[in-house]
Amino acid sequence: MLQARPGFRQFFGVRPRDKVKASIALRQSSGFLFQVALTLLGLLAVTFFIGRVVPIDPVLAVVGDQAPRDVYEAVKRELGLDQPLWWQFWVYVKKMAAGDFGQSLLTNRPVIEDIKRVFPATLELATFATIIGVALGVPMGIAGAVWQDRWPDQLVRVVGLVGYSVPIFWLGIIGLLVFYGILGWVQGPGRLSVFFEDMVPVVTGVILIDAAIAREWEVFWNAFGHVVLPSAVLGYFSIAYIARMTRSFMLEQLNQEYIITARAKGVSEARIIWVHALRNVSVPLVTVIALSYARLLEGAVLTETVFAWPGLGRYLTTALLAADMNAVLGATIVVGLVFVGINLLSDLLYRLLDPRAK
Amino acid sequence: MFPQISKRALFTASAAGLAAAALPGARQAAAQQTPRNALVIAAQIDDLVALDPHHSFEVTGSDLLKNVYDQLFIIDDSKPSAELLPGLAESFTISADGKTFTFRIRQGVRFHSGNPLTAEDVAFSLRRPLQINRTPAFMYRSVGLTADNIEQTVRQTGDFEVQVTFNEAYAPTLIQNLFTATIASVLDSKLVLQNAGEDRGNTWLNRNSAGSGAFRLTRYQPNESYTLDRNDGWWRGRANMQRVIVRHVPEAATQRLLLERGDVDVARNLTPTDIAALRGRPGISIQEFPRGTIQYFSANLGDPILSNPRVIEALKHLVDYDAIANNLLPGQVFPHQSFIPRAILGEVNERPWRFDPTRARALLAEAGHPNGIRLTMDTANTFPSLDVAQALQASFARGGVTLEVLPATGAQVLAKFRARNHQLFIGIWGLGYPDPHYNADGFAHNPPGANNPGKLTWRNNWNIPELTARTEAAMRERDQNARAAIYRQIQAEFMGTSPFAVFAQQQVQVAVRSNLTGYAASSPGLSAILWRATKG
Repeated sequence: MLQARPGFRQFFGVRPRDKVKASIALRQSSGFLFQVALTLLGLLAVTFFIGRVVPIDPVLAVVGDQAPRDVYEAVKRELGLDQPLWWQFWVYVKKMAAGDFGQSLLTNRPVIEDIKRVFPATLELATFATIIGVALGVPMGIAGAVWQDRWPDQLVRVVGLVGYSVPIFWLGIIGLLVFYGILGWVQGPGRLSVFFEDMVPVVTGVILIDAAIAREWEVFWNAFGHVVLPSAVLGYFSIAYIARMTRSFMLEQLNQEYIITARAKGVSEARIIWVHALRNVSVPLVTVIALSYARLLEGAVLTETVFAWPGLGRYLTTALLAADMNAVLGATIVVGLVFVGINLLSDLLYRLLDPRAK
Repeated sequence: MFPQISKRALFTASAAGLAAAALPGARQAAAQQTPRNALVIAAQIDDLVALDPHHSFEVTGSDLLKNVYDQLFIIDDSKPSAELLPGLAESFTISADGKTFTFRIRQGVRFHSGNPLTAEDVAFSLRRPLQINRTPAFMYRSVGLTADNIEQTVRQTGDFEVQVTFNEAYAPTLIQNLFTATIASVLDSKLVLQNAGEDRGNTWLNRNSAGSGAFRLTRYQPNESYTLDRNDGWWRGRANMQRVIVRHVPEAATQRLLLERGDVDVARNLTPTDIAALRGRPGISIQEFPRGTIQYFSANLGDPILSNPRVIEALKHLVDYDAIANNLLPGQVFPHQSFIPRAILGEVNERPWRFDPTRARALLAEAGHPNGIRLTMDTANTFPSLDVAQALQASFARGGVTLEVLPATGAQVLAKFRARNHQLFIGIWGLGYPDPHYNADGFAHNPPGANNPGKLTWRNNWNIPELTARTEAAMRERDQNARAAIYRQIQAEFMGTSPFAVFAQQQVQVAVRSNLTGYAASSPGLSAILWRATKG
């Protein structure tokens, strides 16, 4: 009877230490989830109440200028707007917890469906822009630091200054005029040329990926021709930001004693820059890149408008102006989740890059 | 700092970056020409909310829906002014008391689904707007049809015959014009009922179509685009274009570039600057189409200063009518001062008001304000209302009226206007169906105790028992010429004493590729005409 049965612990080969570790991990991750849920709830509450005190009447957005009183009242009841605020919020959160984000007033479709359409568009644009920003911004920042106050540094400074100060819609229109209107190097506004629409089945919503899955290379190159210019315009702003930050991080590192030591030991200059210094700026650099990526993922209203890009930024702005609260709240949750996700991702990267964080 | 070595080191890294930047040039995009059998339009369509024809109430909606659905009557789309033609109702008779209309339905018409169109579909479609009770339902209620009586007032009396009984003996032209509207679209009742949920197919119809018109809707993505494909068996004949694609392009400058490159055939929402730049450009032509929308400002007579008729008269003298049409909004509007738009029955093209600051000052002095007055004007913060409000601020100042412009979002100012909390309000009024009554109902009808914020008269505290009676009489005048005459009288009085200053009628100015003909961006039937479009 007292014979030890092969217990759970032996069966799974779990040692007591592992169990402790696992429970810490579990506690940590459940704590994390709780934190995320609380953050999102706070975000929702703030957005909801601001949305309700803003003096825009969503009912009028639905019924229009000339509606008589009875239609107005009927729609108001239908939307639940005659109920007290706290009750409306409770009803919303309850439904959302069950995965129902409600209908958008402006598109007459479920918000979740709208977001599935607009978010991949933004994702595509933001990812490309960030790739451009990193591919050009980091080398430019390094160049600025290495040749401090020489002409490469001045060049980087001018590029950065222009990037910060030129209005993005102007840059977008000029870009379109030159590269699409005059030179014809890129495709025009929109995500695809009209005749390519609906040619590949939607899997991820990111047209480049969907076209690659379907092996429709003509669609792929058409979509690529469309995304290049808007992402270059957006990317330019990332370049400006990333280059500035890289330069200042690098300068700080290049003046450290360990660099002098390395140099005294006869380490090659390339190794000093690319291995020693760059490795040490990688952690703050990841933060900068992650933040700029997250900002782009919120959507870029002006760029989206100029390029007729049906992304999250314009969806959110249009909804906000009509007090289409379901759409606003749904999009806000997405932005919130993006920030949480990017934070998590950069945390993981810190651990990879910085041995102390392990 | 470290010149020799780091140069080489940097080169490797920068090359990767430069390669990425140079890539767009690597693949050159050839300029596209749209195919000869397809019409591609760049337009702003983000105000397209509902696709259910019994729910939709926007111009962008009727531009789409009138080309997908058929109605009982048609406004002749080959004429410059609104003239009626039989549509799905081949003919009709009126009972002796004038209240019951019997419509003979055209035989042999098929819906896009292949279902034959019968009187059953017509009766279903005449009842449904009141049953789903969305905004446009008020048009049916204004002729006595209600959700409670609709089963009795609309009756199917044969396979191809439907009877409708109204509460009064209305003018046949009023009923016919009403039945040309989007709300009078005939739906494929079998198809709708197959797909209807609890809301009588409202949700389903907001993303699908069930019509018999020149085109069928094959694709719709809100805020992105929609595609119409030709209905080869349309009873009025086959459209020239096999496919029409309307793409949402919010920015005017972008629309212009698309047109210049030949990627679209029509740029629908250009600014006067763009139009001026494109005029005379080879391969591009500019076209203008009057629209049934008027621009006005109104004064709240509940306000102690504005209740004085002399003040109202002074304000009407302080609008620089010609400058607004010619300098501020060239090509976008033309001068118009009465409430029935040009091309509609009963139109009045006289313009009694002229910009006259001296006369305005004298009138204000007579009204007891020799030192001028201060007023506020509520306006939407969008083009063109805000621009006109600013122009009025300048012209009012010349007559001693200090105008404070209060811009806010459209919904915000509308709420204030509907609650009668304004002094002056500048707005735009669109015709809902091509009949004079529609605007007379808004501008010259205010039954005592109506308490109806849908009416402009009520919003401005304008009490007009006598004009109200005349507007009602015009609804019942069966002779078309006599009816037009009543509207002309009503408007003469309206222009003289009303608290409304109508100053312009809108027109749509589009730029199109020169090989395109027959396309109309707007028409007296209040929608775009696509089926006549053809490419040379």
